Amino acid sequence: MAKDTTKNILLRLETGLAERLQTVASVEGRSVSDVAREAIAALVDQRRQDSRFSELLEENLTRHEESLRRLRDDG
Amino acid sequence: MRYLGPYDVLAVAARVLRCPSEDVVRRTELDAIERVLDGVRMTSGLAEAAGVLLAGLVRARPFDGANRVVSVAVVLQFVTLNRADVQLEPVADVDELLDRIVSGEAGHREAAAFIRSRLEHHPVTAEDLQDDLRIELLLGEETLMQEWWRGTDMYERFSDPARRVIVLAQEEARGLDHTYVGTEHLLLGVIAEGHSIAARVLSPLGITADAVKDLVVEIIGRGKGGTTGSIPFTPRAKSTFEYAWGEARARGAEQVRPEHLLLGVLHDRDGVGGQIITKLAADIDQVRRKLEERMNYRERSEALVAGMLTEDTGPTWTTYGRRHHLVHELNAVLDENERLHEQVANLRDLLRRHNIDPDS
Repeated sequence: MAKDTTKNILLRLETGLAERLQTVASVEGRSVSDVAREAIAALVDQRRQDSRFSELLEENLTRHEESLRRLRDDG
Repeated sequence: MRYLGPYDVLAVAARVLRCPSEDVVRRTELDAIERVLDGVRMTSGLAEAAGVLLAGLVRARPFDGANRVVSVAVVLQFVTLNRADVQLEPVADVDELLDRIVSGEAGHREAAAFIRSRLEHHPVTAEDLQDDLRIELLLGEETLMQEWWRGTDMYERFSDPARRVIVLAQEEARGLDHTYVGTEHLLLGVIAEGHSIAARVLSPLGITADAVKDLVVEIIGRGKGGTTGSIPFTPRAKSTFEYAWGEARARGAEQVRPEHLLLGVLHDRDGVGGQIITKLAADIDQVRRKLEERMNYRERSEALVAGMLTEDTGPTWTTYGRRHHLVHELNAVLDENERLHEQVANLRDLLRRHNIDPDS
């Protein structure tokens, strides 16, 4: 990625989940955002380990590799 | 349709950017992705949904630096998950579209039209159908406790033949030992009801009860045990009712008829019913066109009778009764006319099969 900045996150969480995140953050002495990011990353990892999803993605990227490479960069 | 969730999008981004998941989470505008995905969920067709996804991601720029390539990769993954592919070549055209989206000259409609023109659908396989069924059941489990559709008020909007379709669909599900009523059972219900325009359109196209049932059994199999009491509808079946009611209203009908239900099944191409029709008839659009032709013809005839009656006198209970009676009579004549046409068409086919020109 071009920039190495951390984005603010705005999460729509159920009250129960928000409270659990708050508890974990308090116990570990971290911000709620940090704990939330870690939880989201775990879910993203889970998705990346889904064999059907990742197989389709690899096939896709291989099939369109040349086209994607030639797409112009962001202005 | 399989919609993407935020984790799917982030997983694609992490793979394209070749970075750990925590990095992509830290550097991405998550709320922007959520907003775009909310917009995608409001759509129904694949090209429209992909257009909203592409235009939304390109404009919101949630992926810093490599936004264009990640956005396109996300769209490719979304389309592939829905058994299709998008041709990116020539890439210059894609770049031009993305430029226009960034500058605000193009929106999701133009993006959808672009994708539609480059969309290639993959043939449906038995594995796809089984996968769909699994997903329908997973979704169904979440809603089984809810009342079907929107409660009894909606059911009252069904005509008697449409109610028979529902009852027959439940019987078909029960006969197959299935514990749910899906779009495939609704299709069987429409066929089993037998008297509607919908049933008459399906039969000559080879979409018969036996053919549909064989395909359901071959692909999905029978259930494991007998079911008693009311059988719940899958979310796709409920969406079919919603769509049917929308079609009925758009066509000025006061009640949902079997043909509206079939339009609903045809609309949901990813549903098991829609996919079985695609498998049997090859061209699902042709089925819809034939159905709409018949419906339009029937509606014009009914409107003609209604118009003639209201020209004579004002709307009174007497004219309402006469209209009802005449429309009923008209439908019987039209039914007979269609039946005769079908017989003539069958005879002509038979002659052709024996190398006899029916017009000679």
